[in-house]
Amino acid sequence: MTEVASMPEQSIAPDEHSLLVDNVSHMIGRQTILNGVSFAVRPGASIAVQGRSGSGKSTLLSIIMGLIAPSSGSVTIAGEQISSASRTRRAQIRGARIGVVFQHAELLDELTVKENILLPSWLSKSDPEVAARRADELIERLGLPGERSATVISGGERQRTALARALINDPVLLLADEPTGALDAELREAAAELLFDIPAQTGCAVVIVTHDPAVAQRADHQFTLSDGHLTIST
Amino acid sequence: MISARSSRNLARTVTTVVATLLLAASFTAAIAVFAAYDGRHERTVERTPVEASEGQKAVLQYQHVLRAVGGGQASFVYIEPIDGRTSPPPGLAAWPDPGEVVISPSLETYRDQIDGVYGTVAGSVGASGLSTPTERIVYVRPADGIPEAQSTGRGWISATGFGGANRSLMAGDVWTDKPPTQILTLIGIFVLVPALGLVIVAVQLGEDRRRRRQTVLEALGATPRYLVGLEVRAAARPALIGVVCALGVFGISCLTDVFLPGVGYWLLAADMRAVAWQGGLACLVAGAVVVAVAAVACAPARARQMTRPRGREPRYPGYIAAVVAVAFGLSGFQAINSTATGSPDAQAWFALSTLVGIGLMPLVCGWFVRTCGQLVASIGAARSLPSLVVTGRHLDAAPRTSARIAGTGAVVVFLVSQVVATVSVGSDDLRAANAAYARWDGTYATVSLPSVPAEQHVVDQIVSGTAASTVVLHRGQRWIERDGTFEMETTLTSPTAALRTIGLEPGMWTPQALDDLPQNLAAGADSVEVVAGDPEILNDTETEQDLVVVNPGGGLSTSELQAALNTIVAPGWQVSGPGETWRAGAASESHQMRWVAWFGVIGAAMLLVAGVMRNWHAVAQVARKTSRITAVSGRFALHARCAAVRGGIVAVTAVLVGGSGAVYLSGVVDASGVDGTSVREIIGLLCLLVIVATAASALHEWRTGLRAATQWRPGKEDDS
Repeated sequence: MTEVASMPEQSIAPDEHSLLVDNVSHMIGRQTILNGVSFAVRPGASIAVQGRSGSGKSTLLSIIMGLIAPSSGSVTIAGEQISSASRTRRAQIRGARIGVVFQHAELLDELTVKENILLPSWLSKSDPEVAARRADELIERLGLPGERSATVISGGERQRTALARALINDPVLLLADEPTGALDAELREAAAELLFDIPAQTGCAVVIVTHDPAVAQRADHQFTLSDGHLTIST
Repeated sequence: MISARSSRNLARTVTTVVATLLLAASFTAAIAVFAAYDGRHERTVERTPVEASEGQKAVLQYQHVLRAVGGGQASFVYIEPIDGRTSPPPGLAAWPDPGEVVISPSLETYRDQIDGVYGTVAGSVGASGLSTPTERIVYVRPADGIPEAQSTGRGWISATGFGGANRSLMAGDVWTDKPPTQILTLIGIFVLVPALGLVIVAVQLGEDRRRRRQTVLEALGATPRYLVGLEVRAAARPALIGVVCALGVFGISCLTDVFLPGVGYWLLAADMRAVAWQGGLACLVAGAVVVAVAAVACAPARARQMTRPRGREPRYPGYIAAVVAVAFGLSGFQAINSTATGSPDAQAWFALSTLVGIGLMPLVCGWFVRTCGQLVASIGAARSLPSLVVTGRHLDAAPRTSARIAGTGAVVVFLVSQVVATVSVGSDDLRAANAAYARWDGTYATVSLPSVPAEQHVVDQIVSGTAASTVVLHRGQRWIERDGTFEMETTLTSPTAALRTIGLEPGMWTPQALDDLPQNLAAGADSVEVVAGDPEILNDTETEQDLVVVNPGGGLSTSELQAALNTIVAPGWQVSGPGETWRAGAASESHQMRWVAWFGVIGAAMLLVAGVMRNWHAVAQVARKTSRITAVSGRFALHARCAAVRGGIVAVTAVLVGGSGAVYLSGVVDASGVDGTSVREIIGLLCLLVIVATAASALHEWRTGLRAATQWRPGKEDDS
């Protein structure tokens, strides 16, 4: 299951993990944002990262996604080091192996639910028939109105659509940034359940950044990011 | 403290600077028109000889004729001083010696056609002697002076000096005989109005940010006056930059002559210096207008009203396209009808139906954009092409932004081209005149000297001086009363042998019974009398008469024939090619159309810039929506493809809707007798401008999306 560390000395075999963050530090000017952060997430496992605003959660997500390069350390996704890859390769890894769920779903309102879900598969030039079948499966499992416009669906449906979109390319890692922040309590509960359950069934690792303790508790492990250090919460 | 600087953004600043500059340009252009007219009038008056009246002492003699040089007409002024102390004409440093000629700089190219024919070219006419730098004028001092027998009559006029109000010397300038109101109207329609539109758009750019700022400041207790002051200060800086730029451009035009490309006109620094302070004031007024517009258009209440959450997208029903088609069909019908009957009702219906068509054109664009969106989206969904699906669905669901850009383009193409069409007669007239000239090139030339008899030896000289096969006819045209109605009778006189050379037999004929060439020589006549006899010009004031020098063998071109005649005939004798006066007049009209087209293209460009800038923010919003997806997927090319698809659809819509309407209506106008075929080139140019404008908008969409995607980081979802 999930290996946890702020322990750089611990040896982690890269090919066993969906995500391996190894001794990552990041500085902006003289300010240390992340300081020797290390952890690993195995396939199907999940972790939640909590922390105050400005604690470096978003920076950590950015580094994992390959959007910014760490000052030191490395990030490996499914055996391939994203932190040292070229810009083009980083984009390819993001597109093929990572799914992202945004706080506000970020659906394209003019598209139907199914088209929103299919969009990443079109962008990565996946087999259209395979993608369509997977989209139909996700729509059925998540109880979505596939042919309806994204403008007319509820907040919960929007977030479920965003989850389906993140999973359409069968990623090895799902990143969620405050995925329930814009939902009310009832919808938050349902969304959190899907967020952890469905990826687990497909062997997708989940890293979720949240302020919500109830959502964080659903993860296999909870961490707190404070002063650049990642510590285990429980 | 809140300052104007806080609301500044690059697009608004640049657009406001440009708008101020253009507004100042429209003001100073109006002033420049008057300055140019005044300057030309003054120079023309200064160089025009003052005709001596009875009892006044003449100091010089002159006569003025038009002769062909380099395929166009030029003014030839024959001058001879009587008193050696008389000042030479303005622009000439000294009197040319007998047998010398002085030519204007624009005729330097054709020096070989003048040197040795009229005399020896001894110099150039200076700027003070030219109404415009491109004027074609030649001063000729006869080699042998004026024979005593010719000192009166034969076109020589005695003068007391230069500086008369007679404008007969002006020639070759398109605006010479046009009132300045015409060009002022063009400036008003094509420069001032679009510039004002651009000013309004420019100062309102960034309205979302402005609204947020005003709301916050109002909540903190800012007064409306304070908020207006903020907007004024925000607009003042770019307006001031625009004024400084405008003053710089105007200053340059005061220091050096400025050539206006496209119309081939020189704006003279001397003319502009005469209105220096008015021009400077106009630039300042333009800046003040921009600031005033900002104060009104960006006032807090106005801003809230204008930036309320947008309502539903317009419906753009398909039947609007049919309504517009019917409206333009009616316009075409009424254009033909009004040309045929001159009926005011038909003209009113034409105007009304055309206005309806123009007014509904943006809605047609909306319908077309939405339909294209549906089509593109279905193709994209079938082929898994995200750019087609994303753009097509957006065009289908929210076509307003794209429809506005396309609608602006379509209206600009249609409106500007139709305005140009209404004044394009001259250009087509020129084509017809040139075609007629080409048809009769090398066949004949005419020599005219009204009211003075031509002796036989002149005719003999013409024959011997041109070619052995040349035939000289006397052509007389007069109105005669026959059975209570007036008819034009043309008499062609020449020896029988000469007449037969060109297929004529003595007798009375109808023009239709004659061969092509004689029929052309008698154009406009109801009857033609062919008389065997010597072709002398007679003392007959009732008859308009000239000598027609026919070259039946075709061994000489018309210009060669004219050049040969120019060496033979006396000063004051007018030598013309077939339809030459028509050509000169049509060329002048055609040149006027170039001014209209020139201003039209400037106006169209400004309107398109205003249209694109009006939707600048909305286009950026569209691009930002997809940036999250591309940021995560790394497929940044999606932005370029989406922008290309949207830009392509917008451009096609504008060109198709505006261009087809313009081509159709100008075609109908053409068929109804008022030629409009030359408008096609203008339509093409306008369509090109529309494509450039939509490309700029697409580029903005692409860059905004790409920037948003590459700069996106987790936790920055609300940065749009």
